[in-house]
Amino acid sequence: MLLERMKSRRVDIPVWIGPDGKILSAPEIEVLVTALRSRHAGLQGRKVVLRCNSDFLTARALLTLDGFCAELLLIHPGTPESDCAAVESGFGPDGVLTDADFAGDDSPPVPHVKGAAVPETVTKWMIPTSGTTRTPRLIPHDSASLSRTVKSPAAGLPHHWGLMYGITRFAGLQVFLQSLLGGGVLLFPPSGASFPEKVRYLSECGCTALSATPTHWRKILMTPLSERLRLQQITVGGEIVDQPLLDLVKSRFPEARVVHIYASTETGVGFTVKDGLSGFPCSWLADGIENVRMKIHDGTLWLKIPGRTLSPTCGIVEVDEEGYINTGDLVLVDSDRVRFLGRMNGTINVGGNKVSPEEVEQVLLAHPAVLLASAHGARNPISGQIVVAEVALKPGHHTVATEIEKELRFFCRERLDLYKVPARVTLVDDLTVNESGKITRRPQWTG
Amino acid sequence: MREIILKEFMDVMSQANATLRTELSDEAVLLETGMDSLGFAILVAQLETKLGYDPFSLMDQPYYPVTFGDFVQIYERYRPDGNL
Repeated sequence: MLLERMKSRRVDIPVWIGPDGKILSAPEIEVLVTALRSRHAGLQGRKVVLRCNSDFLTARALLTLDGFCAELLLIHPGTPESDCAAVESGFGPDGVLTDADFAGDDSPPVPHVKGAAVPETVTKWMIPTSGTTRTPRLIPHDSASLSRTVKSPAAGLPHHWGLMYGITRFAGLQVFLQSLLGGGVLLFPPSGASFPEKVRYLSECGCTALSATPTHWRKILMTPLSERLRLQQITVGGEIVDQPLLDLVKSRFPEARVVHIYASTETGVGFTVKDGLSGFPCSWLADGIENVRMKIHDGTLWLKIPGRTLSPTCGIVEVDEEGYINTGDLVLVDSDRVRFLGRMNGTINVGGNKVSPEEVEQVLLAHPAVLLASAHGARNPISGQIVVAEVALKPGHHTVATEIEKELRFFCRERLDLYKVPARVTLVDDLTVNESGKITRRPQWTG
Repeated sequence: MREIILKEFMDVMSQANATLRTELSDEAVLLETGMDSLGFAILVAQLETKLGYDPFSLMDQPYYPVTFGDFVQIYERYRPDGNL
């Protein structure tokens, strides 16, 4: 399917630029994929597991296997063996493919023999969620549903999209599909590289469009080389997108169009917010947006998405009788705006009082010295849990550790109810960010 | 040890804008001091940061101190060796 859709691209614009600068055009990719399909002919119409570590090789694997095999399970690089075994056994694969199965000489040695056309299949894609405390759930998609919100080629110069997410992640797949089907170029930064090295690569390859989480954006904005980026399209998503972040991004990249994409692996793309304000307009609750209907129930946001019909008994996510999916995001109506408060299941319980880690993090992030913040619940013998936080400071703000920690706690006390104030703020050099670009909070103890 | 705990106790009281209702002698009943349960939770967390251990999590049987003296004693009893 994707291969067919790729064929309608302009042939003079590259499709992919690899980590080492290697350029691949649409006709070259077509030859490559055709050769790969003959190499893996036995897997046509079958169930395949893809376990690639290289995003660049995964890209060609996706084009090879979509429309070719019946079902495709994408394993995120770095998934622990036990989780791999668990999801694979449930899936029941006919074959497992790795980097080696897609590597090798990019110009196939055998001449391309035109055989019978491959009958196109609608391949079912199974994407694991990034579960932190349990085996990942497999979320079904197909290339059509995944590219539902892809924008057609824009007039003018095509975008050079930077891949900051792991390509197998939902957000990474969106960038992959948007660049492929939207007539743009996809830039693959070297995977083991440091953050500044990735930013350098992107600026050297002429990146004009970048999609990343708020955490990534904060780090990008603190990287000196980011001044060389000439971005025209900025997408933010995956974590709460707060107003200070939107303002910061817009002031640093004044020519860029800034879009907040609200999406998840379970729901797919929900909607996009382009007005530069955090949250989304209240009116969308009544009128819907982009053919998506939404409602608030029990404090969380539920979405009904065209083409995304999951049954109430699917066991993957909570779905009601009308087909609305529970996003698990807590929201609050604040005059004419709906604001995001945090994840439903991340709540910290301090002696019966509920605290959202995101709320605490937003306050910490408001302090001028703070670059990144992560709040979670620590076990406490009196209250069950108590809020603690880790903070990474902006460059140039490193000061005596105990002083800044006290100062941050005081800062929080001025803005939050006492039970929400972190009882401990630890300074760290950097915060762990997972392959989806989101801060990984430590697992919650629940009493 | 008593001095450390006293200092942290007063610090938490000021965070909560609470006033000390009784003198903090060994016999002072904790629940009558003006410190509420959230305050105690914060105190235990702060002492863990300062001392490096939480005696309540080291106990086999949960034991809740009644007086200030009891509280200090718990910290002394469960103090890991060479730690102060």
